[in-house]
Amino acid sequence: MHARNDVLKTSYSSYSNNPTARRQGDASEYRPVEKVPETTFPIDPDLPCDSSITRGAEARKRYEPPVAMGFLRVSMDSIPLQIWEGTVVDVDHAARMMRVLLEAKIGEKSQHTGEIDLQWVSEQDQDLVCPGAVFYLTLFKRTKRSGIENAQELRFRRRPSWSSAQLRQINEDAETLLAKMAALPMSE
Amino acid sequence: MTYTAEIFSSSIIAVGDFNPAIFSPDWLEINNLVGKDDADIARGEGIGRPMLVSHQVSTFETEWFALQVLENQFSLSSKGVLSPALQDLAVSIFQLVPHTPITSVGLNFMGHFKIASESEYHRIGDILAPKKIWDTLYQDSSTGLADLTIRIQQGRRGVSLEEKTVKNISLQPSKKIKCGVFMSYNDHHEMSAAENGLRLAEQVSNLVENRWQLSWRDAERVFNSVLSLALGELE
Amino acid sequence: MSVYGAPPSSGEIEVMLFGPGYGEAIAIHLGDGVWLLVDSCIDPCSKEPATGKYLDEIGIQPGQVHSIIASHWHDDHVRGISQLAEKYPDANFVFSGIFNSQEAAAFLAAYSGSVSPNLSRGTNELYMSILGRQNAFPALHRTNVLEETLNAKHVRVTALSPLPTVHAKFTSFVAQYMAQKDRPINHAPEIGPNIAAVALHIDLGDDAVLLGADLEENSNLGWSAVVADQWSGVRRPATAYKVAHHGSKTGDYSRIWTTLLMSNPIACLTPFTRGKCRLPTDVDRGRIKEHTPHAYISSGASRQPAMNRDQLKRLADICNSIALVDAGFGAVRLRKQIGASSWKVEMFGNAQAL
Repeated sequence: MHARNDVLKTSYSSYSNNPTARRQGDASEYRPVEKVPETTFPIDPDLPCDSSITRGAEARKRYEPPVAMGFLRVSMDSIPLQIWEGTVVDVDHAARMMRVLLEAKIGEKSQHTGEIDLQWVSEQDQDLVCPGAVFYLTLFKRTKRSGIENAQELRFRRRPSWSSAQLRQINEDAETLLAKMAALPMSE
Repeated sequence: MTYTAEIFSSSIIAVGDFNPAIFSPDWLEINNLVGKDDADIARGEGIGRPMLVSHQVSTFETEWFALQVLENQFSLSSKGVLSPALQDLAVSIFQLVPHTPITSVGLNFMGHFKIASESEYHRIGDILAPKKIWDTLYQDSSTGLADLTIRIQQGRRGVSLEEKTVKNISLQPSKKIKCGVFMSYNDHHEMSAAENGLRLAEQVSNLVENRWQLSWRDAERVFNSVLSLALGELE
Repeated sequence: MSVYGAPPSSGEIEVMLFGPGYGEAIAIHLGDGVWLLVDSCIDPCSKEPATGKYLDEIGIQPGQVHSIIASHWHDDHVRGISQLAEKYPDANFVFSGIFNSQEAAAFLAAYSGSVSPNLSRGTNELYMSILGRQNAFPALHRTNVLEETLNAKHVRVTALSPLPTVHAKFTSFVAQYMAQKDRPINHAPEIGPNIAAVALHIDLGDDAVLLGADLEENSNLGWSAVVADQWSGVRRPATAYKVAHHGSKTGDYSRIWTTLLMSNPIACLTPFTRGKCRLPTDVDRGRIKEHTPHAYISSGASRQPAMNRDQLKRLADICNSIALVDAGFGAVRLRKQIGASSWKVEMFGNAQAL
């Protein structure tokens, strides 16, 4: 048997299988709870707000410090049919289209090329569309109360700016490369 | 038979010494880690979702991730469909805070699986946690598996065991799916100070970059194998 | 026994061109068991570098590989080359000499080095190959890659390109894309045209082979400048030619055929597909066949998407013109006994006459 505390330090199993995590301990501190006990009044986000079960829970929430719990809800739309990692080959701004190379992340599939209309790229990602840019096209099924529908998400990879430390490392790597380059003889 | 999760998610959790006030939607946006729309949603503009950024805790979410940073824990969780963009976000965040002393990181994957029938559902619990002892102790009661965690370490018990890298696989009845099983996979890594001249947060960034997708594949394999073995489908 | 049969005999020259529809790799036997590998592509079945797998199948030992040459850094020419470099640790690693400068080395390091190893697959293969060696050899116009006596013949492999003028141009080009503070980390830019590729002339003593790489025509920087050069002009004309740049119009220059090649040489090439760009076009095929009736292509198979109907339907909701990249894997093999007048041509997989 192993002590539970260290098992749960980087593990989210008990958080993800509970509709809520109740904060324990001193009101002035926000500390993660190691083990979440079941309450006798489960706060289920899917229950209507005026249900007798949640009414009591809502009242209690008003008088207790807020807990960081919103993200602990696991959404009901999450199973990808396929995730394509795409690379932009070139962009035809006039035709509002990008030519792409697609590599499947699920299963063994060969590379494919294709053309994607820029309407599928979100407003916030339009500036990222350039040759070489990488994106993820996820095709999945969304489960809603009304049923199951096909859905897709196209999200571009983002990286931060180069830092001073990174630039120093790049220069070091460049010096290492140059030091390895040796000359072959030239033909007369 | 291949078992596919009805709900599948991931979280990247780091333990260390954080300054939660750094981690804000503005900070992510300025550093090009999220776009304007995501940053606006995270700030709660027009949506009304709570955002909190303080020296003790920062927490906010967008449509595809939720971030919570406490003084001793960093947690980035997926929302909606899981995508490698979560990995990119974590890699970039840790690159931006290279001085943060992080002592361990966990790559977590969680799935809720619907089981075909109630008899199979109970069979899984019976195989993994046989009821015989408990039924003997509580003869007029109903007993069943509530929570099971197995720890996997490289090496041999009693000889030498790998301490720095550990996997924890958990299984519980699902609270989200009727007649369902919830499984979680925790790929836990302890950090060593200044490995290869890299600072701890840089090591974590590299680890997430190199391992996250591998852990995802392995988690799917483990979940599928556990269910298949428990239901007697694999030799 | 492998589908490829026995290895060439000691006195038999061989040129083996692999092409999966996106990618190119060449294995060359110079005689006396000495091999060169030029570029790399991945065998779709084994997922290994195609030339490495080929040499294993015909029983060639790692010590027999003299040099591995990366004719340029584009992804389709260097996939798996770092694995080849690791597999043949004693082989010289030769690459385009344009990277022999502070600026170009910093460019490689920025997009493929320890800081950001995944920003550019092509340059990452090059970076890892150079890093794994004690020495690596940049090649420019007139660099001797190999000079040996094999089968009593004076065999010499020399680089025809890139020209020294290209080196200077490339250095100023990459300076624009240097990693800088407060500049977002972006993906490695495409560097074109292909004037920095390493085209090779293989003088076998009594015959020659010309490997055109992806070198393109570009006034004083491309083929016309190479051919006009006095030294190039006196190279032994070749009877076998790996057609430059997948048979494209931009890779063609009429004086290649009249100055660097014998009449009616054996010409072989690989196709290229990227988005709407599909080489060789029908016009390209016609032009090549006007120069020689003996032309072969490594793959000509269908590019129908390779996925089940449901997946294709879902993808087609968003993506048009979906086509398979690796459209059939094939190889063209040329073999000639030293002193013989003609080459024997064999085709494997999806290879076919042009």
